[in-house]
Amino acid sequence: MKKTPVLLLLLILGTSSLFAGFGYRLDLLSFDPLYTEYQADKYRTGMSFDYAYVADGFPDYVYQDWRQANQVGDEKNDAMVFELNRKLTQEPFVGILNIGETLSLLRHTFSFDAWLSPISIDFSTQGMISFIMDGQVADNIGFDGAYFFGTTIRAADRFSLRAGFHHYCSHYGDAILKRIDNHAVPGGLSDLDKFWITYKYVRMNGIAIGISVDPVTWLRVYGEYNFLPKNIKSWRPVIFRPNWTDLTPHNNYPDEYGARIINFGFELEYPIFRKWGNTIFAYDCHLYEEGKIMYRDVHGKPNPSMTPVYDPGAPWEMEHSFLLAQEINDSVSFECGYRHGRFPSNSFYYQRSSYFFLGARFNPNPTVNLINTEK
Amino acid sequence: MKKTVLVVLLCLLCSLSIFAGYRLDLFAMDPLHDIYMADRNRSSLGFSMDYLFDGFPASVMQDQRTTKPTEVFLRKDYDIPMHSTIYVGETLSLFRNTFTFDNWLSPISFDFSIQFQLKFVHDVEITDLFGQDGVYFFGGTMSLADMFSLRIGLHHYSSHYGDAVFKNLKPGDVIDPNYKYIRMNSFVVALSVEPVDGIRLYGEYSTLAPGVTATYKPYMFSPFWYDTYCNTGYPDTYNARIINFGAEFSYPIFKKLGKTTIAYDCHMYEEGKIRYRDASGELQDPVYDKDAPWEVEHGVVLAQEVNDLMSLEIGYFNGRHLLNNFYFQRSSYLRVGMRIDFDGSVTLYNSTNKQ
Repeated sequence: MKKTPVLLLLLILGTSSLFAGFGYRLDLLSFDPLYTEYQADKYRTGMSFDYAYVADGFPDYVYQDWRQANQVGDEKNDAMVFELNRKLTQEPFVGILNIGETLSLLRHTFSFDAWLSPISIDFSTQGMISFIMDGQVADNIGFDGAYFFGTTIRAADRFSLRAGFHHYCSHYGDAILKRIDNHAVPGGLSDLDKFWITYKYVRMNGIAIGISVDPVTWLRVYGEYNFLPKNIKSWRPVIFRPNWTDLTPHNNYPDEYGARIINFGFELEYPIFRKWGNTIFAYDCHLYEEGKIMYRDVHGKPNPSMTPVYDPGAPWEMEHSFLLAQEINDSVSFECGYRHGRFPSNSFYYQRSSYFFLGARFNPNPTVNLINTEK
Repeated sequence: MKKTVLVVLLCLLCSLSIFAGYRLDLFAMDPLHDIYMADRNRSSLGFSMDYLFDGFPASVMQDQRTTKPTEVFLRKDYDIPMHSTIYVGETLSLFRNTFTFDNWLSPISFDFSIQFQLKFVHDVEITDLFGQDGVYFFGGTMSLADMFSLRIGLHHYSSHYGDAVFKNLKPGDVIDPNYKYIRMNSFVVALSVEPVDGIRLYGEYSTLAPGVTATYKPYMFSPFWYDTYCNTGYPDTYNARIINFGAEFSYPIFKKLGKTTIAYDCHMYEEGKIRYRDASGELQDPVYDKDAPWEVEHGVVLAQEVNDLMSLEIGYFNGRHLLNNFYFQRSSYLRVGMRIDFDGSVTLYNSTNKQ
């Protein structure tokens, strides 16, 4: 194992001379992604704080599916709905605090005299934690983690690609745990109290392939496909599992169902206010194949007594996001936007919400350079 | 009230001609009264891994108004005594006025300042959350001659349990899930001096004040005037004060990168005079012990800037746990982390008239 990195290093150094007519640069670490995050994506990797007004769909219950038998003795419940004993927040506002960054590691950049130049390749991790707080930014409704790790490539400052693993997981915050009705003993589980305190939405780890194109400097279009391998490590809710997974499946779903996610979007940017930076308008659409699973009643609330079924005629679940941002310098932007789709925390995957948000984003882009030969 | 504002504004505009330069920033992110580098509650953005040599939280303590505190022990699911900590904080300097003139006191700046921080303390895998603390200051800050700075205002602490606490209670254990350490809002005054370039000394005094302090817990630490029903046995002199002071030394050892800084901070809590455990460590009805020392907390940080934005840091802390909800827990821990420091500003007016 030790020989492999040494050989790789020697190979890189040895082949540097091949690029005599080229430029070569090696960055140990860079915060500036080759594959830029999607500006309007709810799970955008970055640092930001947004204050959101939930116009519709503020959660007032918690849904959990398929309790493991050992959680409450031998009893097994397919699904449960837990009411909250009081509202999560007095007003339908939430604070959304996102902490994340791209770490582009061992980035190689080759520049040469052709339209494809420069070509860059790296090993990239794009991680973020999203804290959803109540309107006073005091209690924590929940926090979600999302990260990508894999390879990203960029060519001609125009095309970029990413391929790797993508992880989602969601955790309840104290705002939920304090408010589960009939839950006088936080953390305790009894026959009367079947709330599953460690239940979470988790997708560990899907495979993501994304492609992005900037046909002109002010426009970007992108698309990404996310699917789950058979031997995925962990995946909840169980109601969304296809029939072919190694985990306990839903056998009544057809083979073609794979809980896939497709997202696509575009971004327009132009320095309307040159003194500050770019003004950006972005749109993102997420499509969830999970929308084909029927588990809600006619009122749109999950029905614990209903056996989930696959509906071939149902559309994929859709999520739309719009964002307008204004850079004020190299690292700070102000932004506002609107989302219609799932609630900000994935723990409420069953909750359709629409919300407006207003906030700021911080985007540092430093680099630690090892080699830079400009020919 | 409206007239006062108008008169002040007119005076300000009329007096502009006295000064060689005047600048008004709507908004700036570099503080006039800089944060204390080794303060565990400083307003900054960063991430750290904290290895606790001693004092990893093993229990939750809560006090009532009339009886001794109760303590509930957590199930010990965390084999590695480490925390991953995310800090989100920044200084927002609003309406900053800066006057420059030909005198050693120049420049003089003052503003209305907000310095806040949210701190999320996780387990080592950043999955379960032990808790989150909110800390903020709001008030006036002032800087003279790039040497002296001052801040006066109100200071807020509050602490919240995370899911790691709720998940680790044993069946049957009872805690109040809404209980929190809260100090809302104490009055604070601070002074900082940089006698020479690269050396900074500072001190700060924080006290609870009638009419200002809205909420304060734990009850057992509150002075007699805050809740006479509870702590009438405490003397008038006790006021749950906090004094902190420290020193910072900075020098660009690695000029290509930026400054290297070593910082020391000491916090002293008058709450140390309240005894809520007996000699054997058992909980007892709280009493004021006039001979007891103030509780002391030390922090030492070594930081290296790597560019204008980022610093890498290593530090050692001995005192309270990272989270204020575990105020009863003495901990010592090693911190390795990074800090990101944004310094943008939005200027409304900038006159650099030369006399």
